[in-house]
Amino acid sequence: MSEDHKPTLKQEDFVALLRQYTPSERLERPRDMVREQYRILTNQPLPELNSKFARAYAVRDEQAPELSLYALVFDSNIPLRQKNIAALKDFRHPNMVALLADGIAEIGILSESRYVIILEKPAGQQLSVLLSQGRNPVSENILVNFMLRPLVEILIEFGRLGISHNRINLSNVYLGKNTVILGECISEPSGYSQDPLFEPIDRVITSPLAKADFSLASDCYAVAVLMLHLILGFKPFDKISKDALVESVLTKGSYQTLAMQWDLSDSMHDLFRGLLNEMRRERWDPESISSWISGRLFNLITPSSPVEVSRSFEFMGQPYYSRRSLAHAMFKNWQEASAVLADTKLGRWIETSVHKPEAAEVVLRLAASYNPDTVRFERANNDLIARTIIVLDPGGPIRFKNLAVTIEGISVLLAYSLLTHQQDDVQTIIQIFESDLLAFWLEQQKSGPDYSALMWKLQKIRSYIKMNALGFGPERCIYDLHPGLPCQSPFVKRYYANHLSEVLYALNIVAPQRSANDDFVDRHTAGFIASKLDIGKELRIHELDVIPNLATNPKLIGLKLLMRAQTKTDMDDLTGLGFWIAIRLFSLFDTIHRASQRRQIYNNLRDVAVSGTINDIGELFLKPEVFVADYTGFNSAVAEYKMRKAHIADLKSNNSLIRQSRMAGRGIAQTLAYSLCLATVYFTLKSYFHF
Amino acid sequence: MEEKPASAPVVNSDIPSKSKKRFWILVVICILGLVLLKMSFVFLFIGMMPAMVAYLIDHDKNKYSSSTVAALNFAGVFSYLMEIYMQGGTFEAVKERLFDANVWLVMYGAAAAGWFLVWFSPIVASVALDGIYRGRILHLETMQKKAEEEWGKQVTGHGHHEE
Repeated sequence: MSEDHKPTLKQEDFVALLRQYTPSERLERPRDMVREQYRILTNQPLPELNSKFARAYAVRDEQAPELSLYALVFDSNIPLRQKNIAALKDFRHPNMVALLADGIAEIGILSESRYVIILEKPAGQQLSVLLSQGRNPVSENILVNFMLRPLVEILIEFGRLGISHNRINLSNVYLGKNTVILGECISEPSGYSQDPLFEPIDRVITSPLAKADFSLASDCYAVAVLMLHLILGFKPFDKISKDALVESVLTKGSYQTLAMQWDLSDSMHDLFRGLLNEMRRERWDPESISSWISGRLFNLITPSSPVEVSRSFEFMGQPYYSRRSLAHAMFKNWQEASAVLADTKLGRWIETSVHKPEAAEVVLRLAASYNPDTVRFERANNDLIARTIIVLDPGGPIRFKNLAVTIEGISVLLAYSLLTHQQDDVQTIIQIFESDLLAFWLEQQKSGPDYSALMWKLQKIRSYIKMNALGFGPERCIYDLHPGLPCQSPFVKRYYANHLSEVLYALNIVAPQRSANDDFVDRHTAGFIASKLDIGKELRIHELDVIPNLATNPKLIGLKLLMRAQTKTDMDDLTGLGFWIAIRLFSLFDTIHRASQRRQIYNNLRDVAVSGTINDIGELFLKPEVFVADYTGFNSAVAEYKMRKAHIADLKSNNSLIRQSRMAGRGIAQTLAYSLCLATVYFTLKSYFHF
Repeated sequence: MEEKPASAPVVNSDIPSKSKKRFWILVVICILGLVLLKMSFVFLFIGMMPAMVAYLIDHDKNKYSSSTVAALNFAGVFSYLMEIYMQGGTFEAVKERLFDANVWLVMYGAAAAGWFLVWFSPIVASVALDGIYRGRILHLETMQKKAEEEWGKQVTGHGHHEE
């Protein structure tokens, strides 16, 4: 049978073929099992060990059923504390719950794969419960030797591993057999649910998801607050609100707010003076605490009061005696904060009262750029307010409208806001990137950690975040910033696919269900693939540059991404995905006008889809000569059709027939008449002259 | 000083000069005709009157009608013209022919036949052309149909192509 006489394949034929397809790779994970040893007992939830991002269930160790274990089943839309997890897998300390195993398991009750961590169940009772029961002060000796010492040992080890806990609080520390057991620190982003009492002020005022992942200094602070509670034997700050606490710490200082008023030994006050210090650089590190435990004497003076000046700066009718408290007030009253920039008062106050001429110069320069038209210049003014706050409190987070972020923590907030569809927060983060506040914040740091690697990464994100092209935008950024994050596309989310090959397999599996209504690549799949392939430039189908609307066609760009992904992973047998692509791109061949060409392509398309090689499918679609030949051929056909149509109309019209008949008739008549005339003349002359 | 009108009507000075030229050619032809044909020329003039009338009323550029009429009119006149000429081109010979009704019938009948030809030929041509046109339309329409099948309805300049 020749190609021309074969029946033309239709989109429905491809759908029917796909329906019959059964993928060989099912991407199946062990059901409710981790490492074939730990069975997750999903019928035994442990809500007291839940976090906002992970549900806790009891676990049975098939090899040692007597062990008391539990599993944390994580939501898929939150970046994990990867570094902590990796380090804690091999970390064992009798005073901290052990992380025994991790893995991806299919959770039966959720009908999807999730990341799971198996932990030892903390023995003993939560300190918060014990302290609620009445005054049970712990003696200084027990406190130092049986509680502080092990915690400090843990922190020293954490420091060596380059991780921090950031969840040391009364609810996550357990008392058992005269010692303390520290709970896990990986169920949520660093410090997400941390009690504000147990964090230094710079972290308290930071948005919960945007805190720096590594902050051992804040662990030291938390240990001090914990020790204070244990030695007092009750919860003295139970009723203080977060705002009141912040206000008190900003105006009086942490030590003065929390510890100074208690009748404790000088030695204990030394410990609290060393740890309850807002200045990160002045705060004791775990080694200093260890030295203190060993009996080293420190001649400590009371941490200086946060009050910087005697002459206050008035903002919204309130006097402020420090730049940090003013910065916080401006952040909390964002709309009114622009008024501070309307004149030079703030700059002059910093220069004359605070005696910081460099900071004053920056603030004056910012104030000079301020535009009183707050509606038209809202964005620019927001940027100026944020910069002014950074200059006032360079040690604090970057504050912009309702968000306070650290440059280490902005990535987690971006990911979570995007994945939970909090568009306002996403837009604010995009503005922070666009305004280059991260670089400005870094410029204001006199000393501190080396952020060059992080900044290089964030600057790359800055260029990607506003790009609308497939493979870029915020979706791309979250995968660049969190390489362990599984693909969040609704197509594949249930498979917890965090490798390129897994995403391709997952797409192959879901193809029969999804092909009818969805395109094979959405923004998340595209962002994930582009991130894993490290694509830095907007993709364009250069092969089809001659046909502009095809060169930027998002479906074809999606196809190109999948082609590259398949090449990179060296996978085959993606027949399901192949058919999905064929079905969704079928309409693209509508642009091919020539029926015989289309027929041939459809047949070829079916053959390559069956082979499951996306590159072969791509070659069919990305062949410019087919489209160009069809395009030029069609244009000529249209011109010829038009010409013939005019010709037919002309032939059909009587006018033409009449005109042509008259012309032809006259010609015939003339020829006939001339012929008769000549014949007459000839025969007449012949009759006379006999020639 | 009086100004000239902005655009004075253009007079084609060629037209009168051409007419004059034609007039003098005719005069020369007439003198030559009279010298060579003598009274036969008068007979020719009278016999070719229908052709002259046809020439005057024929406004066609190519003068198809008048030339057809003239050719047949001349065919009708020529045999008598030769007779007169062979008889010496005398006035008597001319008079004899002009008094013969058959001569008039032949000369003017031939001119009338010319007019008939002018009227009838387009009708014949129309019938023949109609047949040719029908064949050509059929062929073109077949080609149009094939183009639509191959390129879809879009090739017509409107609509979407379908299988």
